[in-house]
Amino acid sequence: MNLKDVLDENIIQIGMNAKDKDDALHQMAKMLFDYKYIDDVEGFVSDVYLREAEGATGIGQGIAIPHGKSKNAKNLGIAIATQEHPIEWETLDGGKVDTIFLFCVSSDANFARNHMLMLSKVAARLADDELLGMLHQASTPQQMIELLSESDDT
Amino acid sequence: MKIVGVAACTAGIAHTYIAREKLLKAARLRGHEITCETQGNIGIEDELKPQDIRDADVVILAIDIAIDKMERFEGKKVIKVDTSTLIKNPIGFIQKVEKVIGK
Repeated sequence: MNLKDVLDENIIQIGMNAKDKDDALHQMAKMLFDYKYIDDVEGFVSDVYLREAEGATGIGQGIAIPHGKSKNAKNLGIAIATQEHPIEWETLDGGKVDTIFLFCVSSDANFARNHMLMLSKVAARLADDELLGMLHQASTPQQMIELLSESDDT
Repeated sequence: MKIVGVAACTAGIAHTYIAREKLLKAARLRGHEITCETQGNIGIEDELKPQDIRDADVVILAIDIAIDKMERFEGKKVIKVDTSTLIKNPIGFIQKVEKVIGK
């Protein structure tokens, strides 16, 4: 199994036009719903907000990694969206956000452990400042997947 | 210096793994030896070896929650930081650790 197995171009949107954070989370949850990753948009989004309440998910450089551990999650995956215009978000560097990774994870910790491991590897990739700089320039979902799954040297 | 670390955040899905990578990169960039385990939603990964813990000059806990197996670090110098602070400025954090440990 490799990173490409957990990255799905169907749930990647380049050039989203959400008006704010709430709109972005709903649009991305809708993508997850349409491709059967979750069975309820509102239920999932409210679980994402539970995590948001615990601390900033904006990790700097315009990247945010909201995540929900939810009983409404039926498949593990990561919805990814790049915004046309940066939006307000709680971030570690105080900046706005234009690239969002919405992690969709089951509240059952034993569910699909191998997939969980792959999601953690995608998260680890987001520690690479150089990569973060390149993600903003991805112009297609396929390109986003290529950038994220390129082998890391650490 | 020799460092062992543990990273763990509340959800154990994303920040844990970003914190580990940032810690590894920053410590190596500053010329230190480091290994780091994660305690996440899927349990412990990259578990620290007893020998590495014995040899370590310092234990860095990048954690937002209580972790398992704390007894391994009894008698060791432990520095705690939350994952956000570490992710925000990993090099700055390592420099602080250098001052405290004096290496």
